[in-house]
Amino acid sequence: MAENSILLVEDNPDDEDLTIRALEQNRIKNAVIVARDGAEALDYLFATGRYAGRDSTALPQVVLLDLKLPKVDGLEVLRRLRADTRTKLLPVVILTSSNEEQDKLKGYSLGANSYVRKPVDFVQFTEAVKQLGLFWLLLNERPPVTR
Amino acid sequence: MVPGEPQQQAAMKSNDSPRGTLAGWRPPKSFQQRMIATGFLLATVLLGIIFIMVYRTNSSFVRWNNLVVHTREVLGTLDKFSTAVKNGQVAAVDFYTSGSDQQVKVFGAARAEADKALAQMRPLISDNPTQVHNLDVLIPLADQGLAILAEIIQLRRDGKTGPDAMKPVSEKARKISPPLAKALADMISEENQLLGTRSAEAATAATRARRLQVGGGIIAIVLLISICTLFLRENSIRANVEGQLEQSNSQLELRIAERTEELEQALMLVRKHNEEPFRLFVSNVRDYAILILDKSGDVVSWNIGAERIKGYRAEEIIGHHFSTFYTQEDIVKGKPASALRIATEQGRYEDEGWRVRKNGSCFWANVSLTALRDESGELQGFGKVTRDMTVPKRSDEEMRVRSAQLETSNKELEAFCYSVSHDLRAPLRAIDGFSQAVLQDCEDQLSDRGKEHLQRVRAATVRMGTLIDDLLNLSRITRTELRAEPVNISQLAHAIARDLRAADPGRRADFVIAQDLQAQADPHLIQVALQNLISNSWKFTSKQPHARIEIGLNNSNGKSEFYVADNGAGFDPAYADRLFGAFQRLHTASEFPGTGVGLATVQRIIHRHGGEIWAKSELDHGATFYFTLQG
Repeated sequence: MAENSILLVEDNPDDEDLTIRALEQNRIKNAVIVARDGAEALDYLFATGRYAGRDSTALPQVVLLDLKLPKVDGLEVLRRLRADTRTKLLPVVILTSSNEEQDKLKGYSLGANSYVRKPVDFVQFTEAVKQLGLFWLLLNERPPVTR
Repeated sequence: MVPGEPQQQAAMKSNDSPRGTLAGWRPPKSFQQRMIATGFLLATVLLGIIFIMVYRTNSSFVRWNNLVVHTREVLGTLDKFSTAVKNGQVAAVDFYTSGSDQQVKVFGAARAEADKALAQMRPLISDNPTQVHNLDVLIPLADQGLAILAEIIQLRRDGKTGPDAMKPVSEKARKISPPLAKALADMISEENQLLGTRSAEAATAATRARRLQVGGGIIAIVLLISICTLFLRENSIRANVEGQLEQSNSQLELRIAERTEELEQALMLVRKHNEEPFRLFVSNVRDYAILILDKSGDVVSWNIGAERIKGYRAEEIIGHHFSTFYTQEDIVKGKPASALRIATEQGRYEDEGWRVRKNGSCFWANVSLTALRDESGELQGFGKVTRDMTVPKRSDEEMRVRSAQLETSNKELEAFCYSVSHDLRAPLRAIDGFSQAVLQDCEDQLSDRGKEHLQRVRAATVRMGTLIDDLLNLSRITRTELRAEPVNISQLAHAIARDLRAADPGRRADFVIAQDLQAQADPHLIQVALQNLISNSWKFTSKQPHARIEIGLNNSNGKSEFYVADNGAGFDPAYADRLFGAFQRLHTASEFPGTGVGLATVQRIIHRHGGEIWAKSELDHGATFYFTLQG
């Protein structure tokens, strides 16, 4: 199951619940692992810290990454993922409130696969999550595993 | 002729025309030198001749003197002979009378003496044929005489002492005696005669030698005195000529100095005429301190501007060093000295910095220092122009502080907007999301009224979300950098119209867009402005059965005015001034939705392009928005 999981990196419990709700409403049944800050996300992906011992080759299908995060922010998490051969090609979707140009620019230049803005309107949000799920979980072919 | 006269004449000449010939003129030293050289040569030759003559005379004297000595020797020898013969004669006669053997010995000695004298005689007179002949006569006679004496001695030994025995011997003696005496006398007379001649010759030679010596000496002394006199005279003449030369040189210098002074006076006169207005102008300049420094940096001249800026009156500062105007710190650093050095080396020195007034206060000075040189390039001093730039400097600094402050506040604003963008929206999302969740999950438990309330909560959160977005857009317009490039306004308008029609395909509306409208603008920002203006027209014409929206360009007073006109609701011109304020709305949200940020955004974009925006309208008779770009 972990092979098809979704890693949701989100510090706001409201957004976390709403995102999971949106996923459920779109009948996306993939397991959702939640990391509540950037450091935890990195620990999970590289099997370090409290995730030491986890099989680091078992990567999620997609990472939904917020930008404003405690400890290590979203852009830094992205930079470190892209710098590591194991996670270099891991699909990362930036999922954030921000509509700032600088965030988009930095996100894409660091190698984000998509940039999705969380709308205030939950109906619109659900629609966006549906599109995401369709693309990244059903249509997108995973990149070959690099070890 | 007095030696050195030509020189004097030459010197005189040089006095007459000091300019042309003086430089090339040399006193004719060679003549004087030739005179002295000739004198020396003459003296040397003369002394040489005198020396040879004296030498020869001396040699002749010595030769004659030797001959005299020789003659005396011959005479001496003849005397010895004569004495010996006489002694022999006396001894022989004595023996004959006394029979003393002693007399025989004496006779023997006398005979030997006489023979010896004759023998010595021959080499002495060998050079004189007369004497040789006389000697040849004398010797046999002497032999015969001596033989007679020997005969007398023999008579006594034989005991024949009687007069008879003596008679024949006496006869022989009488016969031999006169010729013998004569021969001897001949020789003596001959020698005496020689002696006389030779002595006279020697005396003559001696006299001549003495005369020559004295004469030569006198001549030598006279020559030496002449040469010395000549030399001394030449020296005194030379000194005299040099003195005259020096004198004429100094006269010349004096004349040159006089001429220079005349020229300077003339120049001063010319300058005074030309420079007087200039000097007046400089001394009356009030905005610039214009001063002249001498080579060492001491103040030489001072104008009103200098007095005004620096606070010193001319009489207080002239003669003081210009470093007086520098701060202690700059003086320690050696700035005044380096300013003079740079101005000297490069002709010019410029600086800006704090300087000190008389009252101790500082002012920000713009200083220009120029080296002043005369026509030959010799440094004369420095011209110094100082401007008091304190006020511009202060406002410059204020400006810098303000821009720094502005930059800080801009950064703060950016951080604030970033935060707003992220954090303010998250709660709205939660409110909307969970309202929706309640609506979905608890649909059965909610009354219709409850459902409606929740719908209104959701609508409000969405509107607030829009408001936040609009505000962020407005602030972003201020923050983003403007990049102007040629933009086709017509194309942009067509694209916006197309999107609006697509969003609401049921509406009947005409877009009249002028062909090929060009502008120099930031493509993104001008797009936002047009979007807002055309959307506004679209919105406010929504209640018109037949909407008409026109985009075009007027050229009035040489200015290009773009306009967006519609036949919509319009607005009350009384409130036109509130039109462009943020959150200002002239219609209720129920009439026409909106946040009141759109026109504020448009105005900000136009202002950032250096343009103006204004609107004309009458309520219910449509509105026209005009804008210009880049002034």
